[in-house]
Amino acid sequence: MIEMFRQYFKIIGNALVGIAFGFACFYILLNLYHYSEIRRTVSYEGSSNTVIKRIDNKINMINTNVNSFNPSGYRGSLTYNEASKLKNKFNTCVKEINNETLNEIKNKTVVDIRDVYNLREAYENNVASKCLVNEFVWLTNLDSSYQNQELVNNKDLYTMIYNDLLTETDYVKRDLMSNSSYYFSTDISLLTGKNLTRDSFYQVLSSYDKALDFILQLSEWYKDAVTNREVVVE
Amino acid sequence: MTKIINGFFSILKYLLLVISFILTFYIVMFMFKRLNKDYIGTIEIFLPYALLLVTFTINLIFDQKAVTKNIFYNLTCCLVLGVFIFAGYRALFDKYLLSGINMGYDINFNYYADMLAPLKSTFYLLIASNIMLMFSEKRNKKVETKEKEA
Repeated sequence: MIEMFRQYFKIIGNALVGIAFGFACFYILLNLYHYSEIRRTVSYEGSSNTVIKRIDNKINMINTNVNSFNPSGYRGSLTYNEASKLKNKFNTCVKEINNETLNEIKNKTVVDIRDVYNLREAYENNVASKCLVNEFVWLTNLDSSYQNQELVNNKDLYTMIYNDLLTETDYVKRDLMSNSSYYFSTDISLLTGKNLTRDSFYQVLSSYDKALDFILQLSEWYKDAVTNREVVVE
Repeated sequence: MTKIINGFFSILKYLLLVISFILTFYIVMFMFKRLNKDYIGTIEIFLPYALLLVTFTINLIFDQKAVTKNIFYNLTCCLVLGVFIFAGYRALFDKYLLSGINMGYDINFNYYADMLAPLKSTFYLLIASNIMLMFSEKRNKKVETKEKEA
């Protein structure tokens, strides 16, 4: 009887070792797979990429618009001080959008998840904070007695776009932060479904593009205002 | 050949136990300190280590061949402890796990907490199997001594 129990203990003991062996093998393979998965890279064409080219074009257009302010013999609809202040704001914004991290990405042809993370952080710190919040928050607080009626009339639209731009990359941030959790993907699902590195990268780039759209629209208004080409609606 | 391999894994499991305990201790204590949690909670994390150490010590003291000569058991112990060490290494040094960088701790607590729960269960499996194998051992010795007397 006791001998029978001893045999049972031996069988159960070895069975438990087998289960532990199975668990351990599973977690080793899981970790090795995850280790290689989060190191996946995305190839892109660097500075000849369509989105990057669009970003560069918009930056050039903003610079052109902003440089239409001519301090000598100024006759725009804004006061000289206002025009000069706004020019500095635009220049700061362009500098923050065209930051060091974005320029590093432009020189790369292969991007990994850390590059995407850095680019997103640069969007939050440079574009959202230093450009939009520091330089253009006044657009959301315009008084109806402000000198330029076009801005006052479009205040709600600008406020909506401004608020959207501030939280534009929050979803991407959540996705990136959760990359330490396991996710199983195949080559087919990466091509046709979700590829975290590729999709996040292009989402962040498009956020830069949208921010530039907003600044460009404002710079168009600024150019008209400083060259006195504004249409006055009575 | 089997004896040599078994001897190797038998010694390796002690070494890996020490290394994995040091890694776990560092990460868990840092994690609890950073999160201002009560250190009493670390007992349930380190308890499997203590129990495993006790069972290994009993195996050595009483020379329980059912465990010490069991190559499958020694290999599995090394595998489980190896996974723990790999998880600790990734929590500390894998810079592609972004939540650790974001929080600024330089240790990825999310990932390590994910791994801790299932690996603790494998520890308990090893402890349980050790105890089972211990009980399966005794009878054989008595049979051997009886046969010798006969």
